[in-house]
Amino acid sequence: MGMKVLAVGALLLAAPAPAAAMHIMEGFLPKEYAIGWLLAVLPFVVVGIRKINKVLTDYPERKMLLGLAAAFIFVLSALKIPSVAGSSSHPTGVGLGAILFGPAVSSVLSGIVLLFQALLLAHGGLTTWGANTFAMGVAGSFAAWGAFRLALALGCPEKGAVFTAALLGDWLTYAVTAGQLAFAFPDPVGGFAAAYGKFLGIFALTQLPLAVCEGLISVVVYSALLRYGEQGIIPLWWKKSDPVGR
Amino acid sequence: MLYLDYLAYNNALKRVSIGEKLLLGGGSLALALALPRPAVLVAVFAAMHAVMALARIPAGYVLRLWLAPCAFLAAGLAGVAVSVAAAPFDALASVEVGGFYVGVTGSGLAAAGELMLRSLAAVSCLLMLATTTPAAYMAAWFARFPGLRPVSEIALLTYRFIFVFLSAAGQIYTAQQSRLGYAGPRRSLNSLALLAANVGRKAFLSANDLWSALTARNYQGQLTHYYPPQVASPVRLVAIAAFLAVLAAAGVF
Repeated sequence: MGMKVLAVGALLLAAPAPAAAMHIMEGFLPKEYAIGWLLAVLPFVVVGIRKINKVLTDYPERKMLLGLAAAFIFVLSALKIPSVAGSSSHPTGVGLGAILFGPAVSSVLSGIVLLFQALLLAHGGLTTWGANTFAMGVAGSFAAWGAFRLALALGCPEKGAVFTAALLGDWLTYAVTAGQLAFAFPDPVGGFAAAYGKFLGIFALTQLPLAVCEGLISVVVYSALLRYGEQGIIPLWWKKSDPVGR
Repeated sequence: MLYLDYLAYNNALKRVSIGEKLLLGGGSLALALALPRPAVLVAVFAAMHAVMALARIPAGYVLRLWLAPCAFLAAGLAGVAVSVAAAPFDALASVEVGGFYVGVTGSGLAAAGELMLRSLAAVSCLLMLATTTPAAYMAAWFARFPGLRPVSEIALLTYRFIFVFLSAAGQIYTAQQSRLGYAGPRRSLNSLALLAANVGRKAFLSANDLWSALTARNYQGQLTHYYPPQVASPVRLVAIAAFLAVLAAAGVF
């Protein structure tokens, strides 16, 4: 068993170039931007932590659920999705996280996952944690959650809503990260707009198809969770009146 | 267990206090970001690799760890160094592609050079911390702060179960692969989705089981975490403080 985990770990670490492409690496952002994004993400994280504290007061057993859900999101984000040009990329798990736990709690879970990705996989970074958590945990989670709710309100089938949520959550994460990079490094000739176009273009090759793949995977995972719930194997807490974090 | 985590628990500096490593890694990282002069950045890069060598982290493994950051760095530096505009501009070299002008400018190259040095120095701090200090100890350290305790405990639970789920994912992956589950993109996607769904089921089932097990053992809402006794060395603390002071001086003057 240990060898298999090592093998999976080796697979993760030997990931081709774009696998960790959308988490800004350690030290890439100048200090003003690193601090700025950290300050920007703090209110969301504080609200998320308060929400978690409140949920844990009412439902102490949910601590296990949240911890293990974050571990599940970490493993999801460690899976390699075959992508274009022989490369591969990984899902963010942000769509599922937002649907199951709500955007505020999902922001905190994403922050925890990003921290462990930095410390266990050397993906992302500590000084860029704020920017990455803002892009994935805040922008991605809120976009995914909003898309899910809106799609349901418009009468879209649940699976379609899950697909839309995961797709938009990914795309917004990607768009915000490109924006963060362009904001920090405007083009000497064309300014922010040209830089934004460049960074969007560089990562589009893997990120656009990746989001579609993540949408499909999220639908399968969500359907499986529903099936397990109907069979009484797991609780469907997000379908009840006391869902975690909402 | 991931090899990086294995090294964090089993390196020549495993008995050195977490506080010392956090001070050295965190302090150097802060200085690399705050005072990004080339001399400071090169010194941080060299010092962090010297510490990893002292900790007897295999050089080949450190090189492999650099792969992921370098991939981002290559893509990111290309974005910073190369300029694109609709009209011709003052560039060191440029080409016309589909009505757009793509080229490199002096300022773009200078910015990319600075960025590369800073990123290399900062990543070396992260790698030093990641290879010599277990992530669980760092998360447990944050549990000391009352407001952060629930989240730190969630983070520690996450940490413990990452390896359980990676193991499950590894077993499922092997089973799928031995049945040609990854022959072609369509099958791969289907197999990955099923793998994720089953790991998800295991995660949510394990959460229930863990709760039952803990309540049966008189769980009162707080998890207790074992910390190995580590005593900070005054000599090393002074040496780290002196190194950081020299770095700061080199960055300011």
